[in-house]
Amino acid sequence: VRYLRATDFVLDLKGGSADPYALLEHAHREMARLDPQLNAFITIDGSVPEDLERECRNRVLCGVPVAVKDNIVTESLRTTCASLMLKDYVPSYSATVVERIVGAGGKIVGKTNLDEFAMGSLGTTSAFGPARNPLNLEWSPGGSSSGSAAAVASGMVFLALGSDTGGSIRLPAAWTGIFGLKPSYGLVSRYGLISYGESLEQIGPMASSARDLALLLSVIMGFDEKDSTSLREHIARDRVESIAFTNPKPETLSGLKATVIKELVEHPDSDEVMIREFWRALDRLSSEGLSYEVVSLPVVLKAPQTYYVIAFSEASSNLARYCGVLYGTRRLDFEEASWEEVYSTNRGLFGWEVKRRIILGSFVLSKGYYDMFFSKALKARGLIKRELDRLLSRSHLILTPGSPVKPLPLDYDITDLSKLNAVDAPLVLANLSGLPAITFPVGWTGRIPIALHAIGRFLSDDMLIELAKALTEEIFRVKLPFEVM
Amino acid sequence: LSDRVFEISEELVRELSWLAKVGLSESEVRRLVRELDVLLGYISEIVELSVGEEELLYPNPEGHLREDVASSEGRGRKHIAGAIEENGFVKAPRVISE
Repeated sequence: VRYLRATDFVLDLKGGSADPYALLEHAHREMARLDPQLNAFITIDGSVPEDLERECRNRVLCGVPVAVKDNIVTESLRTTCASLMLKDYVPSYSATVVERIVGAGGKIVGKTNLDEFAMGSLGTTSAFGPARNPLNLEWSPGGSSSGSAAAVASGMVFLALGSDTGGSIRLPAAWTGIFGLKPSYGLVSRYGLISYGESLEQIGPMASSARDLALLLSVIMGFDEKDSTSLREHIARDRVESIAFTNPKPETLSGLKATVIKELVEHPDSDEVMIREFWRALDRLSSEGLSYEVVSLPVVLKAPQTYYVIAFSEASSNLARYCGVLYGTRRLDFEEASWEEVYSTNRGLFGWEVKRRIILGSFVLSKGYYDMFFSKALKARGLIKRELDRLLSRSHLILTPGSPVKPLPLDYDITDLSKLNAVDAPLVLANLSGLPAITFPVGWTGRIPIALHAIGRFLSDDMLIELAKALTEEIFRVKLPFEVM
Repeated sequence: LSDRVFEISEELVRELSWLAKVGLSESEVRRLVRELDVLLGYISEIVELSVGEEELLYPNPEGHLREDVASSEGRGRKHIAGAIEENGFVKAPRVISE
């Protein structure tokens, strides 16, 4: 049986008709066949559990392979953050999300490629070379969760974990034609996520269907006392799990109100075809009962700049630990030089993008510039959140294109900020505000995936996945990327 | 930002590199002068933003603290396995010069 969803396999296994090793064998075979080209994985764990029948028959992820972004720690399995700084780092513990996956019977099959320390939008800052887009090997799969997206889109695995500090789950989902969720801030534990911008980021699921997305979220979500920002009250786990195993509810769209922010759609650096397809999708949805209002909110065009200041500031602090004492590669003997020289030399091993962000973060936090940049950015963040909450008090979601530009080539010059502003603006809104956001495919033009991006009210993650399920299964009937390839 | 109150010079970049303890080669210093100029120009767009008396937002929905009970399951040593250990101490570079 060739499965198209992990949830179908889970049901068959429960019903006694599936071989518990079917998905694992498929994953190992496809990883061996495709990864030499795609470079989706930095480290592969090819081990096979001995007796799945006995071990996990009744657990929801029994025998399901999961790929994990390589900035999420895995005990005894190398975790590099795609950096030379951690190229030999083998963690002594696992992230809470990893423990929950393994506890549910899931199998971690490898650690996926990313931008170094998750800093980038194209996956090209990885010290292990970029992951490639299975739809076209010259394209970026989007970043920073580039390897997770490539692994899911190519059909190697159905489920992967990404992390999203400023769109790092949702951009790669849009560019590879898969589903990605940035959960409400605090819904998923960050314990064991190697921090980049801790006030912005969440670990989230990536999958090739809405059902599988719900399945993985139901396993990883929930309170964790090891993360001080973890929410005690949240969405019922059963409710999320039920999305994975039920058909779409009829009339999901009736009575649903959306807001479209004009500035995000009319961005001067967007690609015409992507915007045309966005309006086409919206027309289709309104004929099915969705109502929407177009509003102007110019401040959203300053969201990426606000995000940069906050993220780089937090990065300059979070990455201070990589000095060679407890973490990080050592290049100078401690007896040979002053601590300043030892630290500077060791930290010279960071890649260019990481260096730029740490140094810029140090600058905006320094005396004389703190109020001008950092305080200002926090205030702008407050303003943006208030404006989004206002829009979401009179509508259920904010809809934007999944990506207003076509997938960029791997050799795109990342110092050219024009296209990146168009890409970042809709995505970082969810990180700045802590709101949940989902990206899902609605169609194809040739090999270019067309996606929608929906930001929802706080803790409406379940509703977003339910909506994505109804739209992709009932209305757009979207092909999976590995069916298009 | 036309009337920027700072100028990105090689000297400033060297100072920042020293403060952040991120070593840069001479060619990297020159490259960063150019790139910081572009990046700072970009983020400086928020300086002109009218935000009023907005609260500083730092989301931590209901931050909580744990009871102060040791729970490392005896794995403390394992967690510092990356350090150089000498006589039961973690070894670090000398911070006071003689």
